[in-house]
Amino acid sequence: MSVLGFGLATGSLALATATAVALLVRPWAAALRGAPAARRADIAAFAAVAPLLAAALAVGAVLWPAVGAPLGWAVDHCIGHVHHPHLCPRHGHASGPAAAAGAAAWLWGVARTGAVLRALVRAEALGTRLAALGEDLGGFTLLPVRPALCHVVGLRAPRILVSASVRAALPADALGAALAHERAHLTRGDLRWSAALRLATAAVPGAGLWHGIWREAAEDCADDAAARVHGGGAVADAVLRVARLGADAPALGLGVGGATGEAALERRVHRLLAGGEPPRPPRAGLGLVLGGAAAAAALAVAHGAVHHAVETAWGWLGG
Amino acid sequence: MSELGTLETQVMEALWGQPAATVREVAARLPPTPPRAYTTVMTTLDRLHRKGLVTREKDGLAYRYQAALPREAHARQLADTLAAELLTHGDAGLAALVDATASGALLDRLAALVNARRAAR
Repeated sequence: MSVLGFGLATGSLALATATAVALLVRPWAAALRGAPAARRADIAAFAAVAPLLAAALAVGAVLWPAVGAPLGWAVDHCIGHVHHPHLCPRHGHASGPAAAAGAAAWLWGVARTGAVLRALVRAEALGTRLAALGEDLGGFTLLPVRPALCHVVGLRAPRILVSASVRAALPADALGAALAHERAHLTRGDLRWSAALRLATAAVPGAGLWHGIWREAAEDCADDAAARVHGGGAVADAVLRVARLGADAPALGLGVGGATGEAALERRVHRLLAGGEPPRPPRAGLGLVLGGAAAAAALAVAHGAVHHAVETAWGWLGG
Repeated sequence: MSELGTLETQVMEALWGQPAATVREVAARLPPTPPRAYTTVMTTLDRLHRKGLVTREKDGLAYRYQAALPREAHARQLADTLAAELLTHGDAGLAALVDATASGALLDRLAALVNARRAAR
């Protein structure tokens, strides 16, 4: 198999593995309903990245003999392959359909991930341009604009942007609550987490669900952080006032609308009035490190079994 | 209103708060480095005219250009445009306090609930 053929084959192998894992973990999303927000965020972050970890494990196991043999870490067993196809950058061949499927998988992945990257770059540029047009009031940037903005924007230097219309519409306690909510996003590093999870799930069908769950949980965590300082009523008041500004200018749009948006807003207000949850440090980073370590350990211990399982499945699929 | 490129910004800076000017006069108001060709400035002014950012009147064989809006009004319009784009951008690279729309009736009902709860405390 040529390096090109192997490269194409790994594309379809990675996509198929990631999709299979995403479909396997998808039913567990329902079990998270009612769990504390911080736990939901941690589990959703891990579930969002799990398909990529599994894909890395599968590709790593396939590469292991070819890469490890010259280093003396593995035995190149290419000549022993008679009962199923061999995925290897140095030997074998890729069938036409397998190469075409691999090319399609690469194109899909690059297009989907590229779209997310473009959106992230555009958000960064919008944040920078808007901040330059606003006034830094220490802790947030006040923008002389009519649209209702109360946002955190940017990955390199995340900043809070508040429009003059929002500041004028919010009494002092509601404005303080809104700013505390946005500051919680900054403290938690939510924008970088969100970007990483979006990139991790962009090309994996079915995995975007976990980014949505993580995002809702992250909003709940930010609500709770603000409510601990200003009270849930003040946060709910801020949310409703900003939502009303958005409703007064429907042409501008504020993301999710209709029954879905209304249900989400209602759930959020009821949750805030119910008292929120005590603080709990995010542990998604630790979970991902442990998950990565587990995948690496599985690769080291069971690479032979995984290698042959992947190649056998590859043979069944006509590769 | 679209964002301006580097040269477009320099040309607008040369027009804001200044009397109407021909292409040659605008070119003379630009920073000396890097040097800009007459035709480059003319093309830029034509593009700004098509964008509605400058007005022009015939003066003999040439046009005289003037900023359509004062600098502050331009900045406000640009900020409004960028803010509107941010609202419709989606959630990549940003987080909004509110990203859902709701009917006035629901907002009224929830606001009454919040007020009642806060009054009771």
